[in-house]
Amino acid sequence: MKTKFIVAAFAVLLSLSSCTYSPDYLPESEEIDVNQYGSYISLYRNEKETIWGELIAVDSLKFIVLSKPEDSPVRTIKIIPVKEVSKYYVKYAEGVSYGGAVPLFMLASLTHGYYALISLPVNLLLTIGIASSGDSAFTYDADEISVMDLKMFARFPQGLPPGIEVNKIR
Amino acid sequence: MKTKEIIFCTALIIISIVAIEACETYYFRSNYKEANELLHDTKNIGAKPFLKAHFKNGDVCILRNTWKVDTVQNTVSGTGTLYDFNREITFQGNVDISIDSVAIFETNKKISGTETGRLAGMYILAGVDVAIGVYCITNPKACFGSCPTFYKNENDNFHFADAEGFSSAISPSMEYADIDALNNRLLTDHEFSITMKNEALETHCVRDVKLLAYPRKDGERIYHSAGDDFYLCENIYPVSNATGTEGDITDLIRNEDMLERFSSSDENNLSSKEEIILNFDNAGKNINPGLVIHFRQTLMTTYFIYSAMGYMGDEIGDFFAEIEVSKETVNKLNGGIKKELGGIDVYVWNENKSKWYKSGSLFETGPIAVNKQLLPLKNNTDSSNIRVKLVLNKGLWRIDYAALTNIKGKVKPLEISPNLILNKGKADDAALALINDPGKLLISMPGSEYKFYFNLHQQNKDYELFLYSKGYYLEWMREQWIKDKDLLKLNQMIEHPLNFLRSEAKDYKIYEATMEKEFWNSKIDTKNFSYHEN
Repeated sequence: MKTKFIVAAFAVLLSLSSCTYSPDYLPESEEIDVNQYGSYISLYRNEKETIWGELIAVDSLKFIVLSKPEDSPVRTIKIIPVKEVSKYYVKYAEGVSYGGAVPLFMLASLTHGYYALISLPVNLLLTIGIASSGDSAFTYDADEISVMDLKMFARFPQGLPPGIEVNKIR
Repeated sequence: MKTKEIIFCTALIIISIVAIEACETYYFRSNYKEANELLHDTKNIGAKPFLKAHFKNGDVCILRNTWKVDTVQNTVSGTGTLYDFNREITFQGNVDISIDSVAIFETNKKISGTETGRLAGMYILAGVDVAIGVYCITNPKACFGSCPTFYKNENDNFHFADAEGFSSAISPSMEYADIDALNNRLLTDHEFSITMKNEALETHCVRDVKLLAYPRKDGERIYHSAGDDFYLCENIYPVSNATGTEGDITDLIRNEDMLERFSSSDENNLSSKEEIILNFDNAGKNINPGLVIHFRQTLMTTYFIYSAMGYMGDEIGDFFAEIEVSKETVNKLNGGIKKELGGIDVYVWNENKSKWYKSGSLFETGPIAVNKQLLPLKNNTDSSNIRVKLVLNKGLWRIDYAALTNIKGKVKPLEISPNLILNKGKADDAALALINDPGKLLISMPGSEYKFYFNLHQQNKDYELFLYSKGYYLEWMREQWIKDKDLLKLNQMIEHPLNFLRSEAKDYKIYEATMEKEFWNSKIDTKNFSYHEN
């Protein structure tokens, strides 16, 4: 029972760590005003494929996304029609990581004797909740920001400049 | 407030804080295609934001907050950094940008206080964790258990322990066998299992775990006595009226419901005694009465064990070595405080002689599992009303249930050794071999769980079951106890227990007020312990 609970907690942690991934080009929240790159975007295409990377440009017809080496083993630039995208979320700054608090508070429960029966699951749930909330603090999803407003978070908010070949974007 | 409630309230507060913050969405970015619009929006801002000028060719210039717009020259100037479309730096320093070359100006408001809620939540949680940790370190008796605990349902926690083994055996020379009634329901399966857990900071050395079983028919029960005899009984006569020093306690004593009667200790003398009177009206003239009683100790004895270890301080190893080689020391330990505190003495009122006659005494160490025992009563009257008096140490005993039964006779149960032991769900043949070899010990460390399986020989036959466990345990010395070293106190405890019990009364009272309340209030929920429903 206890083992199952701990395994479940770590599974949640693991899943959180994957969805709250922060690439190097994302600034810390205090530096959002001096960051030269676009925000990190994750797009769900036709409910089948997930595409993620730096948002290069977006307009009413298409998204242009650059998957960098830190996002994907192969650097790729993809143009995805807006109509094929069912969901998206954008992350504009690195969240503060509270992941280290999870094992720390688990260890603290060991000093609680019998009360660990209560404090261990409470500590686990709360620290996982805080860590998850911290990691995903600086994000928008499709309910919070429209495709057109997403432009502001692209490398080129004005749209892909004429004369720039998408394959040359790094 | 109860510790459990404090933890839940804290959890609720933190969840609320984090949920509010998690739901917060920051809108901080603005784009301007026109310089005039930019000027209009930023003219009343005290500290100008950094400005990003996105050029039509894909370059971007990030200007520090010293930038200014020259509407005559149609330029933006300031100190900044220029990047190409791949965001490589191409220039740093003073720049003059033609507004006509800019596609979009971007400003960002600083996001502040984003971590306040999460940090507050973390600090509150840390505060509560530290407080509980400090409480447990300074009052280890309230947080850490003792001796092996046994569970019919392996998922139960210590509040629902069905038995605790050899609680007084705190060193090898004090090893003994313990028998606990399991109060089991009607058995229909030929296989029975019980899980042994080590839930304390102790090393448990278990020599034997067996099941004692006696077949029973409908309406029959078999009870175990303090002298390790087994009695076949029939009928239950509930208590008609029970009174303690506080008044009527019938409701607490009448049912097996875990609503226990207990008192607090005497603030001047920990060996003060009190009386409980039990009246059984119309129990019958021709019965051979036995008193069935469900009881356990408060945390008083646990307190004394931990105190003694604390007084030994860094010489604890020497003292325990002496216990191993000196019978005199063991006798002193058994004859000291334990003797002064005593058990639950049971008396029966003789109507003819108007006098109380002692029938015997009940004693079992341990505050966790409830002991269910029987004491045959020496009833010399021909009255159908039986009056029983319990004399017990104040603040030492918790009584859940008392009733009379009719003893049919003594019986000898079957002894059944385990045929399988599971360790973390896997068969542990080595553990089985150790348990079935009287010369060897199964060592159980903190966190260990062993599930013992027993074959009851005859399927569809109902048995009354008892758990037999034999061994000893070694309490782990905790660093924080070493500072409590006080050999004079230890000497007083062993050599002059009565004086010790008087001098310690005030200190214990403080401890009792918090620890007993905290410990037992942390009970998760009332669980039915009834024979019929467990």
